[in-house]
Amino acid sequence: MDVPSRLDAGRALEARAPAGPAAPDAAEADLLARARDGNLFAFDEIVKRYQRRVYATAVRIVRRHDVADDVVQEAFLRAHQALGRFDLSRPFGPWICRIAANLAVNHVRSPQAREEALPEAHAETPVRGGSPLVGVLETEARTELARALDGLSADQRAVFVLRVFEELSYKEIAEALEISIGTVMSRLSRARERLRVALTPYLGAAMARRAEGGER
Amino acid sequence: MSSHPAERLSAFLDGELSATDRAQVESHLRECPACAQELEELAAVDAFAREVPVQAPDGYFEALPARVRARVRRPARIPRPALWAVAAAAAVMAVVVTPVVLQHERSVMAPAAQAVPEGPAPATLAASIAPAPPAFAQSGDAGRSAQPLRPAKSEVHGRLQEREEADKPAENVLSKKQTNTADQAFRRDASAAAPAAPPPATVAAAATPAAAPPVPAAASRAAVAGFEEARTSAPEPKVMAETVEAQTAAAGERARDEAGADARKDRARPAERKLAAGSGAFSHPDDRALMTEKRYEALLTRPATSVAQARALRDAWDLFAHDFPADARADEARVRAIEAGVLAWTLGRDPADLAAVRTRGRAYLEAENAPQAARVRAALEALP
Repeated sequence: MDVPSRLDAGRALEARAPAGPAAPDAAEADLLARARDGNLFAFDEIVKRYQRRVYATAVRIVRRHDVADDVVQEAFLRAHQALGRFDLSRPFGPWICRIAANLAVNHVRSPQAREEALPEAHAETPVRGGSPLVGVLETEARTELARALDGLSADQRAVFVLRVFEELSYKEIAEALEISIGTVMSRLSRARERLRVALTPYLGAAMARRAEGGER
Repeated sequence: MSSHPAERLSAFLDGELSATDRAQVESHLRECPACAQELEELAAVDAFAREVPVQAPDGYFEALPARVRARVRRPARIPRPALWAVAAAAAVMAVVVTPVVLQHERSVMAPAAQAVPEGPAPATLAASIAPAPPAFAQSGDAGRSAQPLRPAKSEVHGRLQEREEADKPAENVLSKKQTNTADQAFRRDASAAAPAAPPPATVAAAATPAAAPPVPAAASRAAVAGFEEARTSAPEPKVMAETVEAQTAAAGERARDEAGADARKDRARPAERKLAAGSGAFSHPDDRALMTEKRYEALLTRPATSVAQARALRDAWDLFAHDFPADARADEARVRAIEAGVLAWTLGRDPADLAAVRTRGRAYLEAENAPQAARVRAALEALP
Protein backbone atom coordinates (compact mmCIF):
# COMPACT_ATOMS: atom_id res chain seq x y z
CA MET A 1 0.00 0.00 0.00
CA ASP A 2 1.06 3.53 -0.56
CA VAL A 3 2.14 4.38 2.92
CA PRO A 4 4.52 7.30 2.86
CA SER A 5 7.19 6.30 5.24
CA ARG A 6 7.47 9.40 7.40
CA LEU A 7 3.92 10.52 7.19
CA ASP A 8 2.11 10.88 10.43
CA ALA A 9 0.34 7.59 10.75
CA GLY A 10 -2.70 9.05 12.36
CA ARG A 11 -3.30 11.51 9.61
CA ALA A 12 -2.58 8.94 6.95
CA LEU A 13 -5.25 6.74 8.38
CA GLU A 14 -7.78 9.53 8.53
CA ALA A 15 -7.14 10.29 4.92
CA ARG A 16 -7.70 6.81 3.67
CA ALA A 17 -10.35 5.55 6.01
CA PRO A 18 -12.72 8.32 6.93
CA ALA A 19 -14.62 7.03 9.89
CA GLY A 20 -18.02 7.78 11.19
CA PRO A 21 -21.25 8.64 9.48
CA ALA A 22 -20.57 10.95 6.58
CA ALA A 23 -23.21 13.38 5.45
CA PRO A 24 -25.13 11.82 2.58
CA ASP A 25 -23.59 13.25 -0.49
CA ALA A 26 -25.53 14.00 -3.63
CA ALA A 27 -22.79 12.95 -6.02
CA GLU A 28 -22.51 9.65 -4.22
CA ALA A 29 -26.25 9.08 -4.32
CA ASP A 30 -26.11 9.73 -8.03
CA LEU A 31 -23.26 7.27 -8.47
CA LEU A 32 -25.15 4.68 -6.49
CA ALA A 33 -28.30 5.23 -8.50
CA ARG A 34 -26.38 4.73 -11.71
CA ALA A 35 -24.64 1.69 -10.33
CA ARG A 36 -27.98 0.27 -9.38
CA ASP A 37 -29.16 0.75 -12.93
CA GLY A 38 -26.32 -1.44 -14.09
CA ASN A 39 -23.67 1.15 -14.82
CA LEU A 40 -20.46 -0.68 -14.04
CA PHE A 41 -18.35 2.44 -14.28
CA ALA A 42 -20.40 4.09 -11.60
CA PHE A 43 -19.93 1.07 -9.42
CA ASP A 44 -16.23 1.17 -10.17
CA GLU A 45 -16.14 4.66 -8.74
CA ILE A 46 -17.87 3.47 -5.63
CA VAL A 47 -15.33 0.70 -5.25
CA LYS A 48 -12.48 3.17 -5.66
CA ARG A 49 -13.95 5.45 -3.05
CA TYR A 50 -14.45 2.82 -0.43
CA GLN A 51 -11.98 0.04 -1.10
CA ARG A 52 -9.41 1.23 1.43
CA ARG A 53 -11.94 1.67 4.14
CA VAL A 54 -13.58 -1.68 3.49
CA TYR A 55 -10.21 -3.37 3.29
CA ALA A 56 -9.17 -1.77 6.56
CA THR A 57 -12.32 -3.05 8.24
CA ALA A 58 -11.83 -6.53 6.88
CA VAL A 59 -8.13 -6.91 7.53
CA ARG A 60 -8.45 -5.61 11.06
CA ILE A 61 -10.93 -8.36 11.76
CA VAL A 62 -9.46 -11.27 9.83
CA ARG A 63 -5.80 -10.24 10.25
CA ARG A 64 -4.68 -11.73 6.96
CA HIS A 65 -4.41 -10.10 3.61
CA ASP A 66 -5.64 -13.02 1.53
CA VAL A 67 -8.73 -13.52 3.65
CA ALA A 68 -9.40 -9.80 3.78
CA ASP A 69 -9.16 -9.70 0.01
CA ASP A 70 -11.84 -12.37 -0.25
CA VAL A 71 -14.02 -10.49 2.18
CA VAL A 72 -13.62 -7.16 0.42
CA GLN A 73 -14.55 -8.56 -2.96
CA GLU A 74 -17.48 -10.41 -1.55
CA ALA A 75 -18.66 -7.33 0.35
CA PHE A 76 -18.69 -5.24 -2.81
CA LEU A 77 -20.41 -8.02 -4.66
CA ARG A 78 -23.09 -8.25 -2.00
CA ALA A 79 -23.50 -4.53 -1.91
CA HIS A 80 -23.91 -4.47 -5.66
CA GLN A 81 -26.55 -7.15 -5.56
CA ALA A 82 -28.38 -5.42 -2.74
CA LEU A 83 -28.22 -1.91 -4.18
CA GLY A 84 -31.84 -2.22 -5.18
CA ARG A 85 -32.78 -2.41 -1.54
CA PHE A 86 -30.35 0.24 -0.36
CA ASP A 87 -31.77 3.61 0.63
CA LEU A 88 -29.72 5.99 -1.48
CA SER A 89 -30.17 8.83 0.97
CA ARG A 90 -28.09 6.96 3.50
CA PRO A 91 -24.30 6.93 3.53
CA PHE A 92 -22.81 3.98 1.73
CA GLY A 93 -19.63 3.69 3.78
CA PRO A 94 -21.03 2.43 7.07
CA TRP A 95 -23.33 0.09 5.18
CA ILE A 96 -20.61 -1.63 3.20
CA CYS A 97 -18.36 -1.76 6.23
CA ARG A 98 -21.08 -3.51 8.16
CA ILE A 99 -21.45 -6.00 5.33
CA ALA A 100 -17.70 -6.53 5.32
CA ALA A 101 -17.54 -6.95 9.09
CA ASN A 102 -20.28 -9.51 9.01
CA LEU A 103 -18.58 -11.44 6.22
CA ALA A 104 -15.26 -11.18 8.00
CA VAL A 105 -16.59 -12.64 11.22
CA ASN A 106 -18.35 -15.47 9.47
CA HIS A 107 -15.29 -16.15 7.44
CA VAL A 108 -13.10 -16.49 10.45
CA ARG A 109 -15.72 -18.53 12.23
CA SER A 110 -15.73 -21.18 9.55
CA PRO A 111 -14.00 -24.43 10.46
CA GLN A 112 -11.63 -24.02 7.58
CA ALA A 113 -10.52 -20.58 8.64
CA ARG A 114 -10.10 -21.68 12.22
CA GLU A 115 -7.66 -24.35 11.20
CA GLU A 116 -5.46 -21.84 9.55
CA ALA A 117 -2.87 -20.48 11.89
CA LEU A 118 -2.89 -16.84 12.70
CA PRO A 119 -0.28 -14.87 10.87
CA GLU A 120 3.13 -14.02 12.11
CA ALA A 121 3.72 -10.53 13.37
CA HIS A 122 2.50 -8.01 10.87
CA ALA A 123 4.78 -5.90 8.83
CA GLU A 124 4.46 -2.63 10.60
CA THR A 125 4.83 0.80 9.16
CA PRO A 126 8.12 2.49 9.64
CA VAL A 127 8.61 4.36 12.81
CA ARG A 128 7.29 7.88 12.90
CA GLY A 129 9.52 10.89 13.37
CA GLY A 130 10.86 12.09 16.65
CA SER A 131 13.58 10.77 18.89
CA PRO A 132 14.91 7.30 18.18
CA LEU A 133 13.78 6.16 21.61
CA VAL A 134 10.19 7.16 20.94
CA GLY A 135 10.48 5.39 17.62
CA VAL A 136 11.70 2.17 19.17
CA LEU A 137 9.04 2.27 21.83
CA GLU A 138 6.38 2.88 19.27
CA THR A 139 7.52 0.01 17.10
CA GLU A 140 7.45 -2.22 20.13
CA ALA A 141 4.04 -0.97 21.04
CA ARG A 142 2.72 -1.69 17.60
CA THR A 143 4.09 -5.18 17.66
CA GLU A 144 2.48 -5.62 21.04
CA LEU A 145 -0.81 -4.29 19.74
CA ALA A 146 -0.70 -6.61 16.75
CA ARG A 147 -0.04 -9.55 19.04
CA ALA A 148 -2.83 -8.54 21.38
CA LEU A 149 -5.24 -8.14 18.49
CA ASP A 150 -4.27 -11.58 17.23
CA GLY A 151 -5.08 -12.88 20.68
CA LEU A 152 -8.64 -11.61 20.51
CA SER A 153 -11.39 -13.60 18.90
CA ALA A 154 -12.64 -12.40 15.55
CA ASP A 155 -15.95 -11.62 17.21
CA GLN A 156 -14.21 -9.32 19.62
CA ARG A 157 -12.16 -7.71 16.91
CA ALA A 158 -15.25 -7.10 14.81
CA VAL A 159 -16.97 -5.27 17.62
CA PHE A 160 -13.84 -3.30 18.38
CA VAL A 161 -13.28 -2.34 14.75
CA LEU A 162 -16.86 -1.26 14.14
CA ARG A 163 -16.82 0.83 17.29
CA VAL A 164 -13.38 2.35 17.21
CA PHE A 165 -12.83 2.81 13.51
CA GLU A 166 -16.31 3.02 12.08
CA GLU A 167 -17.73 4.68 15.17
CA LEU A 168 -20.96 2.79 14.97
CA SER A 169 -23.35 2.80 17.90
CA TYR A 170 -23.83 -0.37 19.90
CA LYS A 171 -27.21 -0.78 18.30
CA GLU A 172 -25.75 -0.53 14.82
CA ILE A 173 -23.01 -2.98 15.70
CA ALA A 174 -25.55 -5.38 17.15
CA GLU A 175 -27.56 -5.24 13.93
CA ALA A 176 -24.54 -5.59 11.70
CA LEU A 177 -23.23 -8.65 13.49
CA GLU A 178 -26.61 -10.08 14.43
CA ILE A 179 -25.89 -10.16 18.13
CA SER A 180 -27.51 -8.47 21.13
CA ILE A 181 -26.50 -5.08 22.45
CA GLY A 182 -25.48 -6.74 25.70
CA THR A 183 -23.11 -8.97 23.74
CA VAL A 184 -21.67 -5.96 21.95
CA MET A 185 -21.07 -4.33 25.30
CA SER A 186 -19.36 -7.30 26.91
CA ARG A 187 -17.25 -8.21 23.88
CA LEU A 188 -16.07 -4.69 23.48
CA SER A 189 -15.28 -4.38 27.14
CA ARG A 190 -13.28 -7.59 27.14
CA ALA A 191 -11.46 -6.67 23.96
CA ARG A 192 -10.45 -3.29 25.28
CA GLU A 193 -9.44 -4.71 28.61
CA ARG A 194 -7.12 -7.25 26.98
CA LEU A 195 -5.59 -4.63 24.75
CA ARG A 196 -5.21 -2.30 27.69
CA VAL A 197 -3.36 -4.89 29.73
CA ALA A 198 -1.09 -5.75 26.83
CA LEU A 199 -0.32 -2.14 26.06
CA THR A 200 -0.05 -0.75 29.58
CA PRO A 201 3.69 -0.14 29.37
CA TYR A 202 3.25 1.96 26.28
CA LEU A 203 0.05 3.79 26.99
CA GLY A 204 1.70 6.57 28.94
CA ALA A 205 3.28 7.96 25.80
CA ALA A 206 0.08 7.62 23.81
CA MET A 207 -1.87 9.39 26.52
CA ALA A 208 0.68 12.16 26.69
CA ARG A 209 0.53 12.65 22.94
CA ARG A 210 -3.21 12.70 23.12
CA ALA A 211 -3.18 15.32 25.86
CA GLU A 212 -0.64 17.49 24.14
CA GLY A 213 -2.13 17.33 20.67
CA GLY A 214 -5.75 17.37 21.73
CA GLU A 215 -6.19 14.79 18.99
CA ARG A 216 -5.22 11.28 18.26
CA MET B 1 -17.42 3.75 47.57
CA SER B 2 -19.61 1.91 45.07
CA SER B 3 -18.18 -1.21 43.48
CA HIS B 4 -15.75 -0.80 40.58
CA PRO B 5 -17.66 -0.45 37.35
CA ALA B 6 -15.27 -2.77 35.48
CA GLU B 7 -17.27 -3.85 32.44
CA ARG B 8 -19.24 -0.64 32.33
CA LEU B 9 -16.22 1.57 31.82
CA SER B 10 -15.98 0.64 28.20
CA ALA B 11 -19.63 1.45 27.57
CA PHE B 12 -19.21 4.62 29.61
CA LEU B 13 -16.43 5.65 27.31
CA ASP B 14 -18.75 5.21 24.34
CA GLY B 15 -21.62 7.07 25.95
CA GLU B 16 -23.71 3.94 25.72
CA LEU B 17 -24.84 3.65 29.34
CA SER B 18 -28.29 4.49 30.61
CA ALA B 19 -28.58 7.74 32.55
CA THR B 20 -28.66 5.88 35.87
CA ASP B 21 -25.63 3.76 35.08
CA ARG B 22 -23.75 6.73 33.81
CA ALA B 23 -24.42 8.70 36.97
CA GLN B 24 -23.22 5.77 39.07
CA VAL B 25 -20.04 5.40 37.08
CA GLU B 26 -19.38 9.11 37.18
CA SER B 27 -19.72 9.28 40.92
CA HIS B 28 -17.50 6.24 41.29
CA LEU B 29 -14.84 7.75 39.07
CA ARG B 30 -14.69 10.81 41.24
CA GLU B 31 -13.83 8.66 44.23
CA CYS B 32 -11.65 6.00 42.64
CA PRO B 33 -8.38 7.07 41.01
CA ALA B 34 -7.68 3.51 39.89
CA CYS B 35 -10.84 3.37 37.82
CA ALA B 36 -10.26 6.88 36.51
CA GLN B 37 -6.81 5.79 35.41
CA GLU B 38 -8.24 2.68 33.79
CA LEU B 39 -10.73 4.77 31.86
CA GLU B 40 -7.91 6.96 30.57
CA GLU B 41 -6.02 3.89 29.48
CA LEU B 42 -9.01 2.45 27.68
CA ALA B 43 -9.37 5.67 25.76
CA ALA B 44 -5.67 5.53 24.97
CA VAL B 45 -6.04 1.99 23.63
CA ASP B 46 -8.58 3.22 21.10
CA ALA B 47 -6.43 6.15 20.16
CA PHE B 48 -3.37 4.02 19.78
CA ALA B 49 -5.16 1.46 17.66
CA ARG B 50 -6.36 4.24 15.37
CA GLU B 51 -2.81 5.41 14.87
CA VAL B 52 -1.72 2.15 13.33
CA PRO B 53 -2.45 2.18 9.63
CA VAL B 54 -3.31 -0.92 7.71
CA GLN B 55 -1.21 -2.02 4.84
CA ALA B 56 -2.01 -3.94 1.73
CA PRO B 57 0.49 -5.24 -0.81
CA ASP B 58 1.72 -2.79 -3.41
CA GLY B 59 -0.67 -2.26 -6.24
CA TYR B 60 -3.54 -3.96 -4.46
CA PHE B 61 -5.90 -1.00 -4.57
CA GLU B 62 -4.98 -0.24 -8.14
CA ALA B 63 -6.09 -3.69 -9.21
CA LEU B 64 -9.05 -4.23 -6.92
CA PRO B 65 -11.72 -2.25 -8.79
CA ALA B 66 -11.16 -4.29 -11.93
CA ARG B 67 -11.24 -7.53 -9.97
CA VAL B 68 -14.50 -6.54 -8.33
CA ARG B 69 -15.90 -5.48 -11.68
CA ALA B 70 -15.07 -8.84 -13.14
CA ARG B 71 -16.94 -10.57 -10.37
CA VAL B 72 -19.92 -8.26 -10.54
CA ARG B 73 -20.26 -9.13 -14.18
CA ARG B 74 -19.52 -12.74 -13.72
CA PRO B 75 -20.29 -13.90 -10.23
CA ALA B 76 -18.12 -16.95 -10.37
CA ARG B 77 -15.10 -18.11 -8.52
CA ILE B 78 -11.76 -16.61 -9.27
CA PRO B 79 -10.02 -18.79 -11.80
CA ARG B 80 -6.81 -20.41 -10.80
CA PRO B 81 -4.26 -20.43 -13.55
CA ALA B 82 -2.82 -23.75 -12.43
CA LEU B 83 -6.24 -25.30 -12.66
CA TRP B 84 -6.42 -24.79 -16.38
CA ALA B 85 -3.52 -26.99 -17.18
CA VAL B 86 -5.02 -29.84 -15.21
CA ALA B 87 -8.47 -29.16 -16.57
CA ALA B 88 -7.20 -29.23 -20.13
CA ALA B 89 -5.60 -32.58 -19.53
CA ALA B 90 -8.79 -33.77 -17.93
CA ALA B 91 -10.77 -32.67 -20.95
CA VAL B 92 -8.64 -34.80 -23.19
CA MET B 93 -9.18 -37.70 -20.84
CA ALA B 94 -12.87 -37.03 -20.75
CA VAL B 95 -13.24 -37.24 -24.50
CA VAL B 96 -11.68 -40.65 -24.45
CA VAL B 97 -13.25 -41.97 -21.30
CA THR B 98 -16.69 -40.43 -21.34
CA PRO B 99 -18.43 -42.85 -23.71
CA VAL B 100 -17.35 -45.79 -21.61
CA VAL B 101 -18.33 -43.99 -18.48
CA LEU B 102 -21.73 -43.03 -19.77
CA GLN B 103 -22.36 -46.63 -20.59
CA HIS B 104 -21.61 -47.43 -17.02
CA GLU B 105 -23.67 -44.54 -15.73
CA ARG B 106 -26.69 -45.73 -17.62
CA SER B 107 -26.57 -49.20 -16.23
CA VAL B 108 -26.07 -47.90 -12.71
CA MET B 109 -28.85 -45.37 -12.88
CA ALA B 110 -31.40 -47.45 -14.75
CA PRO B 111 -33.41 -48.62 -11.72
CA ALA B 112 -34.04 -45.10 -10.54
CA ALA B 113 -34.97 -43.96 -13.97
CA GLN B 114 -37.58 -46.65 -14.35
CA ALA B 115 -39.71 -44.77 -11.89
CA VAL B 116 -40.14 -42.07 -14.47
CA PRO B 117 -43.60 -42.39 -15.92
CA GLU B 118 -43.07 -41.65 -19.58
CA GLY B 119 -40.30 -42.26 -22.00
CA PRO B 120 -37.76 -45.02 -21.93
CA ALA B 121 -35.69 -44.54 -18.84
CA PRO B 122 -32.23 -44.95 -20.29
CA ALA B 123 -32.98 -42.47 -23.04
CA THR B 124 -34.17 -39.88 -20.54
CA LEU B 125 -31.10 -40.31 -18.54
CA ALA B 126 -28.92 -40.06 -21.54
CA ALA B 127 -30.61 -36.80 -22.35
CA SER B 128 -29.60 -35.36 -19.05
CA ILE B 129 -26.11 -36.69 -19.08
CA ALA B 130 -24.82 -37.28 -22.54
CA PRO B 131 -24.29 -34.71 -25.26
CA ALA B 132 -26.54 -36.72 -27.53
CA PRO B 133 -27.56 -34.62 -30.53
CA PRO B 134 -31.26 -35.58 -30.43
CA ALA B 135 -31.58 -34.42 -26.86
CA PHE B 136 -30.01 -31.15 -27.76
CA ALA B 137 -32.27 -30.51 -30.70
CA GLN B 138 -35.28 -31.32 -28.62
CA SER B 139 -34.31 -29.06 -25.80
CA GLY B 140 -33.43 -26.32 -28.22
CA ASP B 141 -37.05 -26.32 -29.29
CA ALA B 142 -38.14 -26.21 -25.71
CA GLY B 143 -36.02 -23.15 -25.22
CA ARG B 144 -37.57 -21.33 -28.15
CA SER B 145 -41.12 -22.06 -27.13
CA ALA B 146 -43.09 -19.56 -25.13
CA GLN B 147 -43.12 -21.84 -22.11
CA PRO B 148 -41.76 -20.18 -19.04
CA LEU B 149 -38.64 -22.07 -18.19
CA ARG B 150 -39.58 -22.54 -14.63
CA PRO B 151 -38.29 -25.74 -13.13
CA ALA B 152 -40.57 -27.92 -11.07
CA LYS B 153 -40.30 -26.85 -7.49
CA SER B 154 -39.25 -30.12 -5.97
CA GLU B 155 -36.62 -30.43 -8.58
CA VAL B 156 -34.92 -27.22 -7.69
CA HIS B 157 -35.29 -27.97 -4.05
CA GLY B 158 -33.71 -31.35 -4.24
CA ARG B 159 -30.80 -29.96 -6.10
CA LEU B 160 -30.34 -27.00 -3.89
CA GLN B 161 -30.40 -29.18 -0.86
CA GLU B 162 -27.88 -31.42 -2.39
CA ARG B 163 -25.66 -28.55 -3.21
CA GLU B 164 -26.09 -26.98 0.18
CA GLU B 165 -25.18 -30.27 1.73
CA ALA B 166 -21.98 -30.18 -0.19
CA ASP B 167 -21.35 -26.63 0.84
CA LYS B 168 -22.19 -27.11 4.46
CA PRO B 169 -18.81 -26.81 6.09
CA ALA B 170 -18.42 -23.47 4.41
CA GLU B 171 -21.99 -22.36 4.89
CA ASN B 172 -21.24 -18.97 6.31
CA VAL B 173 -17.99 -18.62 4.61
CA LEU B 174 -19.19 -16.79 1.57
CA SER B 175 -16.38 -16.15 -0.74
CA LYS B 176 -14.42 -18.93 0.85
CA LYS B 177 -17.13 -21.20 -0.40
CA GLN B 178 -16.01 -20.45 -3.87
CA THR B 179 -12.49 -21.35 -3.09
CA ASN B 180 -13.79 -24.60 -1.71
CA THR B 181 -15.62 -25.30 -4.88
CA ALA B 182 -12.50 -24.56 -6.78
CA ASP B 183 -10.67 -27.00 -4.60
CA GLN B 184 -13.28 -29.63 -5.20
CA ALA B 185 -13.06 -29.02 -8.89
CA PHE B 186 -9.34 -29.29 -8.65
CA ARG B 187 -9.61 -32.61 -6.90
CA ARG B 188 -12.09 -33.78 -9.45
CA ASP B 189 -9.78 -32.81 -12.22
CA ALA B 190 -6.88 -34.45 -10.53
CA SER B 191 -8.75 -37.67 -10.09
CA ALA B 192 -9.86 -37.57 -13.68
CA ALA B 193 -6.32 -37.26 -14.82
CA ALA B 194 -5.25 -40.21 -12.73
CA PRO B 195 -4.67 -43.44 -14.58
CA ALA B 196 -7.21 -45.48 -12.60
CA ALA B 197 -10.78 -45.31 -13.89
CA PRO B 198 -12.50 -42.59 -11.90
CA PRO B 199 -16.16 -42.54 -10.93
CA PRO B 200 -18.35 -41.79 -13.94
CA ALA B 201 -19.72 -38.34 -13.19
CA THR B 202 -16.30 -37.28 -12.14
CA VAL B 203 -14.71 -37.56 -15.50
CA ALA B 204 -17.53 -35.94 -17.34
CA ALA B 205 -17.63 -33.10 -14.89
CA ALA B 206 -13.97 -32.52 -15.32
CA ALA B 207 -14.64 -31.48 -18.85
CA THR B 208 -16.74 -28.56 -17.71
CA PRO B 209 -14.08 -26.06 -16.77
CA ALA B 210 -12.10 -26.95 -19.81
CA ALA B 211 -14.97 -26.19 -22.10
CA ALA B 212 -14.64 -22.45 -21.88
CA PRO B 213 -11.15 -21.44 -22.99
CA PRO B 214 -11.20 -22.19 -26.70
CA VAL B 215 -14.26 -20.16 -27.69
CA PRO B 216 -15.05 -18.34 -24.49
CA ALA B 217 -18.21 -16.31 -24.91
CA ALA B 218 -20.01 -18.67 -27.18
CA ALA B 219 -18.99 -21.65 -25.17
CA SER B 220 -20.19 -20.13 -21.97
CA ARG B 221 -23.51 -19.19 -23.37
CA ALA B 222 -23.90 -22.56 -24.92
CA ALA B 223 -22.95 -24.07 -21.62
CA VAL B 224 -25.61 -22.15 -19.80
CA ALA B 225 -28.03 -23.16 -22.46
CA GLY B 226 -26.92 -26.71 -22.10
CA PHE B 227 -27.51 -26.57 -18.41
CA GLU B 228 -30.96 -25.20 -18.93
CA GLU B 229 -31.79 -27.79 -21.46
CA ALA B 230 -30.41 -30.62 -19.47
CA ARG B 231 -32.87 -29.57 -16.85
CA THR B 232 -35.87 -29.02 -19.07
CA SER B 233 -35.34 -32.24 -20.90
CA ALA B 234 -35.55 -34.26 -17.72
CA PRO B 235 -39.17 -34.62 -16.80
CA GLU B 236 -39.06 -35.91 -13.26
CA PRO B 237 -37.49 -34.89 -9.99
CA LYS B 238 -36.22 -38.42 -9.65
CA VAL B 239 -34.09 -38.03 -12.67
CA MET B 240 -33.11 -34.57 -11.65
CA ALA B 241 -31.94 -35.90 -8.34
CA GLU B 242 -28.93 -36.96 -10.31
CA THR B 243 -25.86 -35.24 -9.14
CA VAL B 244 -25.40 -31.67 -10.14
CA GLU B 245 -22.13 -32.74 -11.59
CA ALA B 246 -23.80 -34.96 -14.10
CA GLN B 247 -25.96 -32.13 -15.31
CA THR B 248 -23.25 -29.62 -15.50
CA ALA B 249 -21.21 -32.22 -17.22
CA ALA B 250 -23.89 -32.39 -19.84
CA ALA B 251 -23.76 -28.64 -20.12
CA GLY B 252 -20.03 -28.69 -20.45
CA GLU B 253 -20.08 -31.43 -23.03
CA ARG B 254 -22.58 -29.58 -25.09
CA ALA B 255 -20.71 -26.39 -24.72
CA ARG B 256 -17.76 -28.13 -26.24
CA ASP B 257 -19.80 -29.63 -29.03
CA GLU B 258 -21.59 -26.44 -29.74
CA ALA B 259 -18.75 -24.10 -29.09
CA GLY B 260 -18.83 -22.70 -32.60
CA ALA B 261 -22.55 -22.31 -32.96
CA ASP B 262 -24.19 -19.82 -30.69
CA ALA B 263 -27.13 -21.83 -29.55
CA ARG B 264 -28.92 -18.86 -28.11
CA LYS B 265 -28.53 -16.44 -30.94
CA ASP B 266 -32.22 -16.21 -31.60
CA ARG B 267 -33.16 -15.91 -27.99
CA ALA B 268 -30.89 -13.16 -26.79
CA ARG B 269 -31.77 -9.64 -27.76
CA PRO B 270 -29.04 -7.74 -29.58
CA ALA B 271 -28.15 -5.53 -26.66
CA GLU B 272 -27.93 -8.49 -24.38
CA ARG B 273 -25.86 -10.39 -26.78
CA LYS B 274 -23.40 -7.58 -26.78
CA LEU B 275 -23.41 -7.51 -23.03
CA ALA B 276 -22.93 -11.21 -22.75
CA ALA B 277 -20.13 -11.14 -25.26
CA GLY B 278 -18.50 -8.27 -23.46
CA SER B 279 -18.66 -9.97 -20.15
CA GLY B 280 -16.22 -12.59 -21.26
CA ALA B 281 -16.07 -16.25 -20.56
CA PHE B 282 -17.79 -17.87 -17.71
CA SER B 283 -14.98 -20.09 -16.97
CA HIS B 284 -17.09 -22.39 -14.90
CA PRO B 285 -20.53 -22.94 -16.28
CA ASP B 286 -21.54 -25.07 -13.33
CA ASP B 287 -20.81 -22.27 -10.90
CA ARG B 288 -22.66 -19.79 -12.93
CA ALA B 289 -25.59 -22.06 -13.39
CA LEU B 290 -25.75 -22.80 -9.71
CA MET B 291 -25.52 -19.14 -8.80
CA THR B 292 -28.21 -18.32 -11.29
CA GLU B 293 -30.39 -21.03 -9.99
CA LYS B 294 -30.02 -20.05 -6.34
CA ARG B 295 -30.92 -16.51 -7.05
CA TYR B 296 -33.76 -17.49 -9.26
CA GLU B 297 -35.19 -19.84 -6.70
CA ALA B 298 -34.84 -17.24 -3.94
CA LEU B 299 -36.73 -14.73 -6.03
CA LEU B 300 -39.48 -17.18 -6.91
CA THR B 301 -40.30 -17.70 -3.27
CA ARG B 302 -39.74 -14.15 -2.11
CA PRO B 303 -42.90 -12.65 -0.64
CA ALA B 304 -44.25 -9.34 -1.87
CA THR B 305 -47.16 -8.21 0.23
CA SER B 306 -46.23 -4.59 0.71
CA VAL B 307 -45.39 -1.84 -1.73
CA ALA B 308 -41.79 -1.82 -0.61
CA GLN B 309 -41.48 -5.56 -1.04
CA ALA B 310 -43.09 -5.47 -4.44
CA ARG B 311 -40.72 -2.74 -5.56
CA ALA B 312 -37.75 -4.59 -4.17
CA LEU B 313 -38.87 -7.74 -5.94
CA ARG B 314 -39.38 -5.85 -9.17
CA ASP B 315 -35.88 -4.45 -8.93
CA ALA B 316 -34.43 -7.79 -7.97
CA TRP B 317 -35.95 -9.45 -11.02
CA ASP B 318 -34.61 -6.64 -13.14
CA LEU B 319 -31.20 -7.17 -11.69
CA PHE B 320 -31.43 -10.88 -12.33
CA ALA B 321 -32.33 -10.28 -15.96
CA HIS B 322 -29.52 -7.82 -16.20
CA ASP B 323 -26.98 -10.07 -14.57
CA PHE B 324 -27.85 -13.11 -16.61
CA PRO B 325 -29.07 -11.70 -19.89
CA ALA B 326 -28.23 -14.84 -21.79
CA ASP B 327 -29.82 -17.17 -19.33
CA ALA B 328 -33.03 -18.83 -20.38
CA ARG B 329 -34.69 -17.51 -17.24
CA ALA B 330 -33.89 -13.92 -18.06
CA ASP B 331 -37.08 -13.67 -20.06
CA GLU B 332 -39.11 -15.03 -17.20
CA ALA B 333 -37.31 -12.57 -14.91
CA ARG B 334 -38.24 -9.67 -17.15
CA VAL B 335 -41.85 -10.75 -17.16
CA ARG B 336 -41.84 -11.17 -13.42
CA ALA B 337 -40.29 -7.74 -12.98
CA ILE B 338 -43.25 -6.36 -14.86
CA GLU B 339 -45.70 -8.36 -12.79
CA ALA B 340 -44.05 -7.20 -9.60
CA GLY B 341 -44.18 -3.67 -10.94
CA VAL B 342 -47.90 -4.00 -11.50
CA LEU B 343 -48.25 -5.33 -7.99
CA ALA B 344 -46.24 -2.41 -6.60
CA TRP B 345 -48.55 -0.01 -8.34
CA THR B 346 -51.68 -1.86 -7.27
CA LEU B 347 -50.58 -1.84 -3.66
CA GLY B 348 -49.29 1.71 -3.49
CA ARG B 349 -50.92 3.59 -6.38
CA ASP B 350 -47.73 5.54 -6.70
CA PRO B 351 -47.51 7.28 -10.09
CA ALA B 352 -43.78 6.60 -10.17
CA ASP B 353 -44.44 2.88 -9.96
CA LEU B 354 -47.04 3.18 -12.67
CA ALA B 355 -44.62 4.97 -14.94
CA ALA B 356 -41.89 2.47 -14.14
CA VAL B 357 -43.99 -0.55 -14.96
CA ARG B 358 -45.33 1.02 -18.13
CA THR B 359 -41.80 1.67 -19.32
CA ARG B 360 -40.79 -1.89 -18.56
CA GLY B 361 -43.89 -3.29 -20.23
CA ARG B 362 -43.41 -1.24 -23.35
CA ALA B 363 -39.75 -2.15 -23.55
CA TYR B 364 -40.64 -5.81 -23.31
CA LEU B 365 -43.38 -5.72 -25.91
CA GLU B 366 -41.32 -3.69 -28.33
CA ALA B 367 -38.35 -5.98 -28.19
CA GLU B 368 -37.84 -8.13 -31.25
CA ASN B 369 -38.17 -11.22 -29.19
CA ALA B 370 -41.01 -11.23 -26.68
CA PRO B 371 -42.03 -14.84 -26.14
CA GLN B 372 -44.35 -14.00 -23.29
CA ALA B 373 -45.98 -10.96 -24.81
CA ALA B 374 -49.46 -12.26 -24.06
CA ARG B 375 -48.68 -12.67 -20.41
CA VAL B 376 -47.21 -9.20 -20.22
CA ARG B 377 -50.20 -7.70 -21.97
CA ALA B 378 -52.48 -9.45 -19.51
CA ALA B 379 -50.48 -8.07 -16.59
CA LEU B 380 -50.56 -4.57 -18.02
CA GLU B 381 -54.32 -4.75 -18.35
CA ALA B 382 -54.55 -4.22 -14.61
CA LEU B 383 -53.20 -0.73 -15.14
CA PRO B 384 -55.42 2.27 -15.88
